[in-house]
Amino acid sequence: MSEIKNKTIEDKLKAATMNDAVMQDFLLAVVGNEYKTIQYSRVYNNELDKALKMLEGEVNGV
Amino acid sequence: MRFSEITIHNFRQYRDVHFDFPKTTSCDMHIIEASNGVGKTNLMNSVNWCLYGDEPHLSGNNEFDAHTGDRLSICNLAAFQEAKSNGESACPVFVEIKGENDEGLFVFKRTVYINVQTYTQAGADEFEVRKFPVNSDMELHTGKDGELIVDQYMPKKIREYFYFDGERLLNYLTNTESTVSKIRDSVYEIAGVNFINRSGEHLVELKKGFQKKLSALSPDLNKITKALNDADAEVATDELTIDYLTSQIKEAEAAIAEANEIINGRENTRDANEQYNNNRRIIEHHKKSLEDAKANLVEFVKRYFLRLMLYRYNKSTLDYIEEREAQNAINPEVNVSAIKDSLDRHECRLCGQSIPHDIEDELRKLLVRYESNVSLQTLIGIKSDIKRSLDIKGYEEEKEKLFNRIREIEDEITALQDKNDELWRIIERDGDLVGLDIAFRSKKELEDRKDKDIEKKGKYKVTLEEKRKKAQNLRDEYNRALNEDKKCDELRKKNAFLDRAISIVEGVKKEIIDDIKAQMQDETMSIFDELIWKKDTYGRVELDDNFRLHLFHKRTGQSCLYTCSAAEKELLALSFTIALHNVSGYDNLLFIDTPVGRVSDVNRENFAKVLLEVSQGKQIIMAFTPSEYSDEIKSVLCKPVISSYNRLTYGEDVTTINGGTYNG
Repeated sequence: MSEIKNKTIEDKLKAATMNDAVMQDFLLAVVGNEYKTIQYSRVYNNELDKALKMLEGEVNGV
Repeated sequence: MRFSEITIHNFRQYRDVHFDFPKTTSCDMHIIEASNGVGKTNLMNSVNWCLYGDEPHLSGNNEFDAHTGDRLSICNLAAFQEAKSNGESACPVFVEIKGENDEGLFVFKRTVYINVQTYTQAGADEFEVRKFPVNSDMELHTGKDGELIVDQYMPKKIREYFYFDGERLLNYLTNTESTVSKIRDSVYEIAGVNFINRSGEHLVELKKGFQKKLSALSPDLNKITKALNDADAEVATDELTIDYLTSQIKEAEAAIAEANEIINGRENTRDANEQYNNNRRIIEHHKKSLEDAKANLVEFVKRYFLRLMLYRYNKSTLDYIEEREAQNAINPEVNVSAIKDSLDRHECRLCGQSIPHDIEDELRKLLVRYESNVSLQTLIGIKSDIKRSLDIKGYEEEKEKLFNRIREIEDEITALQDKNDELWRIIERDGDLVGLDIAFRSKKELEDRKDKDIEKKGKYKVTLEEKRKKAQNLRDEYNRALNEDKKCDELRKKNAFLDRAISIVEGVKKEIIDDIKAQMQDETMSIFDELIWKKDTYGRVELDDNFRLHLFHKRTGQSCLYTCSAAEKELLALSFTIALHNVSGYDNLLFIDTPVGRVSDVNRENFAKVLLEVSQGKQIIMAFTPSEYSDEIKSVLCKPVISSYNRLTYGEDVTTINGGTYNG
């Protein structure tokens, strides 16, 4: 579930990544993190690794 | 966030005062009435002091205040004296605000102790926030943690848009660099753009981190990365400078247009001003022609430079060749290799007969003579090229033409500038400058500044293109190096993914800003149109890239903010503030001090109606003087429409609430 507390931003991000589910999940997660006080680098790196693994899974037909 | 209660203890003229702001009607509108000096502004100061630890509405605390003077300690004098006579060491001062929103209840409290001997604060502020979330236990946040809570709901940097001070319009409408960036940042904060902006910055930081790792894996990449980063930084700096110069030029043009409107409004200066402006247009056109003429001169010099440099040498070479030709000193064509071959074989290559010794000697002498003259043969070969290089027939004529053209244009510019100096003297003499706006007096300065900015911008644009090309070449080189290095595969994929993410975030941010700007313009104009009494005067509001307000005349389409009265400016600033609240969906109260100080009686009823409508969706607390809270206002903002009314009175260094009952 998106943590973004601004519907406009959330809707626009979803529209811009309509055909890219992996990028959408990544951006919703990292932008959502800006609404918390969690140190960004850990979250961003984790989400990036997750996204690349998913992309590799898509390429390998998983 | 709306405020339900404010309790003030020993803060300035408030000894012990408790305000209730219940929402008892459909309009969350609350009136506070107080004469000058009784404490309206200090009520706003107490709210700021509680939440942010300072008092921005004191004189001298604002960048536009002309003076900073000594001021009394925040401690109420009567309370201070009492504490001193009771032998206490310190007098406590606190302000407590109870707020509420969808998440629950909040209690904000700031306390300080004033030393009764030194009259200064003893120790640090004690600040706490108690949060009572719906269906959850109370949370206590103190010090910096408490400040973070405040910043989450009522950020300090945008507080001018929650606590509107009608006497500090310069905070909203002035174009100093600090005000401009504050307004833009405030809009971004309220609209949530800052969140997505931060996310974009963090993505860029992450990418830079990966670039460093990539560079560490490969020394070549390291070198290219550094060069690329430097090139990108230069491009970014130049782009910012060009944006700044563009906005400065636009601003100057708007201000010049304003000044023209004022001058044209005076009959005895109108013609002179029209001619003056016409001359300026022609001068600008001539300046462009001058640039073209100078560019042609540069091309001319490039074309002839080498020829002129080598003219003397080429001429003496040609003379030498022609002299030798005249002396028949030029050798005929000889097949040197055939002769050498024959001499080696000691027989003629053509007929096969052996060559006698004496003939061989003659042939060898002939060859030596011939080869010593070979340089002349070479020169013969390039004689026609040398002749062409000496052809500078058109040079003098073209040079004369180009310099004459430049002189002509410069003379025309000088003549027009002299005429304009004379016209300006007429305008100054006949224009009756007494009482005219500062913008008019500075019209010349604005024009000079605009000219310099245009020239600077032109130079920056030329170099920017070259820098962009350089950066792009480096980027291509970087990508090539990256692709070639297999060690970088994983990092390369991360980089590519981040590039896409950054591009999407930038695109979304731009969309949001454009949408906000368009909505803000429409909403500000809509509210301003309802508030203003001159219904046929103002046609359009525009916000520039920094969200600065520009107002345009309905009929002429000209910019006219500078010619607005103080009252009109106040209503415009207020319209902008309300529009910002509406467009951003930011759920916070609006506290307005001295809302109609500059608005005359007849127009106040309209003002009251519009604000009442706004208060159906948001809490509005308005602090009026008795003269402001006139019959026109009372006819609209009255019981049972408003939710609460408080009247403040002052006596013996203390402000108290008198009643809380409505006296309208």
